[in-house]
Amino acid sequence: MGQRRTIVLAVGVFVLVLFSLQLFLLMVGLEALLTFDRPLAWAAAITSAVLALVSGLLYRYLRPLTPGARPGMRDRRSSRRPSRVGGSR
Amino acid sequence: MTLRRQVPDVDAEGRREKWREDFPYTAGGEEEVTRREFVRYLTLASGGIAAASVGVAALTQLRTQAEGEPTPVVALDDIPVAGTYLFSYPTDQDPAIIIRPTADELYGFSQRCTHLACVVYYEHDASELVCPCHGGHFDARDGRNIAGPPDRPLNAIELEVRDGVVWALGGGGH
Repeated sequence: MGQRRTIVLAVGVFVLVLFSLQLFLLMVGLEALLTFDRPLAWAAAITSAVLALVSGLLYRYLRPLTPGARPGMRDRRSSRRPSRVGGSR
Repeated sequence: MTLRRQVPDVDAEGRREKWREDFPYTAGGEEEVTRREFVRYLTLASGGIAAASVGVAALTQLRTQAEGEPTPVVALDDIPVAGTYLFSYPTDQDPAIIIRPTADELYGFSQRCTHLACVVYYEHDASELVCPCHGGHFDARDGRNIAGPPDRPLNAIELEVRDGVVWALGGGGH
């Protein structure tokens, strides 16, 4: 469980870094718009799209780790067996 | 499957937390955003930013470069020596400037800085065109970028004097 949380956190930080890069690339694209620099604008757009794709793939990687997403993987809170009424052996 | 969970207002032993007694109001916004939800929102925003970048690139592609046609601008006598004349060329949206450093010299440039399109102004003492936004400097005689962030010269406008009238013959567009 601890490792799963660490993975989610790491992916979150990585996606945050990618998102920051995308913001920078959007600024580059806007500057290219102002200076009529078409190759630079398209390069920034394509790079931004690739980063968005990577972010999507990382999120997709997280989905199997989501509690309840796989039949064999359950959340710790929900994996407790219900207590049986009357007890049993 | 739910990824949200309520902020607990009871401690491990089931006693009511002190803050809940002091602030006995509840709201839907008290639910926590989990790490996975945060990543999901960030991924969605990432897609939005990518779409915006592609839109900006498409807009850059669609913008046309105006070149301009021969147009009478102003009578030569109306431009003071060591002064300037401001006009629009090649379209009404393109600020331009004519510089007359001496009686025999006349230079025309687009007023848009090649860095981020701020409007440049003329400094006669330094014989430069200066951009007030980020400190770009251009030579007033050939528009060459000589200092600051601009990496291209100013767009020059070809001028000609016909019968005492200054004509703009072309150029000036981005």
